[in-house]
Amino acid sequence: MSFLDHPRLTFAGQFQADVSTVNNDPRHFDNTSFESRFQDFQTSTTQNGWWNPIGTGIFRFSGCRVQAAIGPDGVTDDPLIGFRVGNSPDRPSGKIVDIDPDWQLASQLYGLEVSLADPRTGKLVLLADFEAAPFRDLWFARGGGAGDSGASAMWQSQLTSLRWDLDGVASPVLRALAASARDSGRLSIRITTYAYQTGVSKPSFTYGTVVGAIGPIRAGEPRTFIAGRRFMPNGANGTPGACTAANGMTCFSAKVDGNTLVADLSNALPLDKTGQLQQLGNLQVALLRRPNINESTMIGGDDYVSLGALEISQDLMQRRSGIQSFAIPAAVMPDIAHRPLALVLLGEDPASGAAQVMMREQPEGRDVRVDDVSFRLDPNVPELNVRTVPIYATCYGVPLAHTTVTFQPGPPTPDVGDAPTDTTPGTTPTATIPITNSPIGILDIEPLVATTDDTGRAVVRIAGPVSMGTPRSYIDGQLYSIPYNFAGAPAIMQTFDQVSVLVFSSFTASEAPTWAEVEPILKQYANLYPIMSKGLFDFSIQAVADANAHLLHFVLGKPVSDPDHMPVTRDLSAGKRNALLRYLAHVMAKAAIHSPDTVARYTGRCPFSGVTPTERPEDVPNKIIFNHLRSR
Amino acid sequence: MLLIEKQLIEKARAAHSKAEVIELLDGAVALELSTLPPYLTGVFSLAPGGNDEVRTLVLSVVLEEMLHMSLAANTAIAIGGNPKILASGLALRYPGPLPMCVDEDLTVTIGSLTIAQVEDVFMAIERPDTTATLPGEPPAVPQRLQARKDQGYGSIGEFYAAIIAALERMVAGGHDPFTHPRLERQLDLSRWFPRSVPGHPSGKVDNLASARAALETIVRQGEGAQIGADPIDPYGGRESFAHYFKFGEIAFGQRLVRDASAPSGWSYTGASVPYDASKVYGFPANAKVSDYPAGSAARITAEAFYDTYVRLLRSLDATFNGEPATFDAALGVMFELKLVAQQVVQHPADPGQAQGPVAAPPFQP
Repeated sequence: MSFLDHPRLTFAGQFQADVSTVNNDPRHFDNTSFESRFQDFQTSTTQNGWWNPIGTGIFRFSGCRVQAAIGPDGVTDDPLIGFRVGNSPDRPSGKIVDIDPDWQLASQLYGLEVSLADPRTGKLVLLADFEAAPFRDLWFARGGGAGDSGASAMWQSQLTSLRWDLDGVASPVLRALAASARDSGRLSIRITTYAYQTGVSKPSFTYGTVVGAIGPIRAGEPRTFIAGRRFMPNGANGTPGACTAANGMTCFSAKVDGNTLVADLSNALPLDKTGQLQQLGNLQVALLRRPNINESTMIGGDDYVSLGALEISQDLMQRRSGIQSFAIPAAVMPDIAHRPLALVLLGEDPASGAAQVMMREQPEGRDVRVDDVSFRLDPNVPELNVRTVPIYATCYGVPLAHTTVTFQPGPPTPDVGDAPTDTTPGTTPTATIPITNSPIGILDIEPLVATTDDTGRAVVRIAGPVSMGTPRSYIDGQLYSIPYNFAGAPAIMQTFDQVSVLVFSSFTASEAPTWAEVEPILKQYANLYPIMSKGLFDFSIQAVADANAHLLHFVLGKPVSDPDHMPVTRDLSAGKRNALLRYLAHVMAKAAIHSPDTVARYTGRCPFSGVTPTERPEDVPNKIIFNHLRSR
Repeated sequence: MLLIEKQLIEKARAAHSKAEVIELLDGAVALELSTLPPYLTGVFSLAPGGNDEVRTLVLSVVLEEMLHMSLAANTAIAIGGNPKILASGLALRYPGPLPMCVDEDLTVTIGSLTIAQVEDVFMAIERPDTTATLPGEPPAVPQRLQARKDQGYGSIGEFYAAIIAALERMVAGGHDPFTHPRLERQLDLSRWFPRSVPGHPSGKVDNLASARAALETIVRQGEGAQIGADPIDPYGGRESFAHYFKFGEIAFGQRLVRDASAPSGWSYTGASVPYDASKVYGFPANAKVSDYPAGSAARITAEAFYDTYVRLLRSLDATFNGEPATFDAALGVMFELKLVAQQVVQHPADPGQAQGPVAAPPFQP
């Protein structure tokens, strides 16, 4: 059962997500109406390039330490505690990447390595690749202080290419983790990120808090979420569409392991303005005796059995990564897989047992989620134009066999949420706001109604069209969102939990592409990523691109999983990529090889613009932006 | 000119075993590496919007120092060495003498790219070993160097020449050190440094001839060819000048051109090499991460920079210790270093002094 299982280690510290924001506004993809000020920081009245136009895309851990080691008997006094959790020791930093400007709600991590090192000797005991995965359960109302976005989300994925060096390591938990991965070569990891600083004048700009957990994997379980007990606000009592309960909590998952319930609260608990966890009263995790007791209902002591008090403490978040275990009383065990779990708030007279249901499991305990929630399809390469998406259905945490799940592609929708209007007259980008999900009916979803097998699992095959046009005109391809749910009685889905698919446009260029053919591609990238075009060299100028053809060819040829893959955003179709590579190869062939004269080589990168602003950027609260996102 | 410790020169001249030469080459790797922090700090101090030619000249030297480090490392690997790039890099401290060097007149500092820094540090590091009076130079400079040499100190050129001689002695004596050159552990330089090592495009070393070619390339690009008497030949290769003269063009603000009226046959009287002091950040000297107040933006970005620098050292260490393919990653980290440096210089070194010195990307903890 993944990171909720043991052996488990937890860690906490900071993370940096130096996202680039010029591409936050989809209208900035339009080369013809692009203005150079879209690469400037925002002001209080004009969005320009939003709050970090010179972001590098870097995602990295900072100052993270192992906080606890959990073995079969619970928290142990393991020598692993205090070990550094970090990044690659000798590679470029990992990158954080949106799937598309019209869907900035499933950011993926690429090229991220995770390391575990002894702080005394620096010795690496584990180095692993974090398999690219989008964050899930994103919510914007967590809070955490002025200037912060208030957003929080969690990435669950797997560590692969495990490289162990356990010589002289006396950690039973680490050895047990290594043993668990002997056959699969994989571990489960979950990182939850919040309290992210978007205020440019703050020293911790682009940094936030991360808590993480690493555990074993088990065969047949999903990679990117817990197929277990899903606590889900019904939406009636919180902010509409924001997936919060009346007390400000959002959804979370738990899993029954023998006679223990293990819950992951790392992403679920709201923060106050000082960044501390809000105290939410005397909350009990309970098993409801009747299945149809709804959220916000007042109940008596006979209506539930408490499994224990929900702990809301910094210690829980920091030291145990928000993971709390509850012993399931023997008397309750026969009902545990048949009755809903809930969070109940005890009243002023706890002894009476009177309580209010704050949040409960899905109706009838039925939950369904896909394991591949966000991906790209590329009609330019047939094998990249189809994806098989696993689906897992459960009922009270038990696989739900022979149930049907439907996929309903969304209707054409203008992306107004990402295209705000400036208060300064005349500065709002003039490009037409793109309409997603159009044309309809071009994705081949097979089957549209999937039936789970004996293990509660189904697969749906999603394929792009043989040929794809440019329905968004100035943005490559199209973004399709595909909500899914049980056929018949639907479960409550997290606000952003739908399959999002970017289908690239078909692209053909001549065998030896001319500059005119590749210039629009490079120009768009130079516009959107000043950190590359100004911070290194401006490849949208032919002379500069040609002089640096060898370098461009080198990074464009790297696999998508490489941290240095270009473009950083991974939003270039194979058709366009191959056209660029052919153009650059042609230039390199003509020039034989780049100049051995090192002065000439650097002259070929001039003029150097740099990205350092000449004046301090204005500090602008980001509420406007996130309100827009929240309105989806 | 770097003055190499007397006993090291003597050691090089007397060396007759692989172990001794490997130790000398380790020193050479450390020395080439040690020039990067001062030169790169100079580059990072150049604000956007100017000084393009200055930036280009310094970066071209940086790139060649990387080549030199690689050539020394390949040579060491060829005779059984395992270059200690990480350890050497982490041990560097500024201000101070460079590895293997003693010269009370040359304390290497790192700081902004001022003309004084170019003259006092960059040109002093790179001055060719010659008694010729170099363009624009007062006669006292070669006189002082001659006095030092008379005391037994050697130049970097002599140091490498002594290594070549030691290798020659071993081969002549029937103790060929290149019997297992471990070519698979060496870095093929032809892709990123084409035509840099005459006759040996890969820059790999597997015999005396290729070792000589590699080490002579280091000296030629650093000091220039046929240095020793007037008139000089300042070319470091077919295409461009040796390091000292590139820096000279910055210091004197003009290109180096042939000049029959000058004793050396050359003078800095060519086209302008504009230097705009108003577009140079004022860095604190010899910055360390710990110089910046805890919790400040300078400190946080400086830590990210230093982290990147250490990753660069590690990736190079891996490159020359059995994983040459890691060089691809090292290249990526080098570009990341340039980007993260631009984040450091956005902040004052002291948050209480917004108009004070600008935070310098630190190469020291």
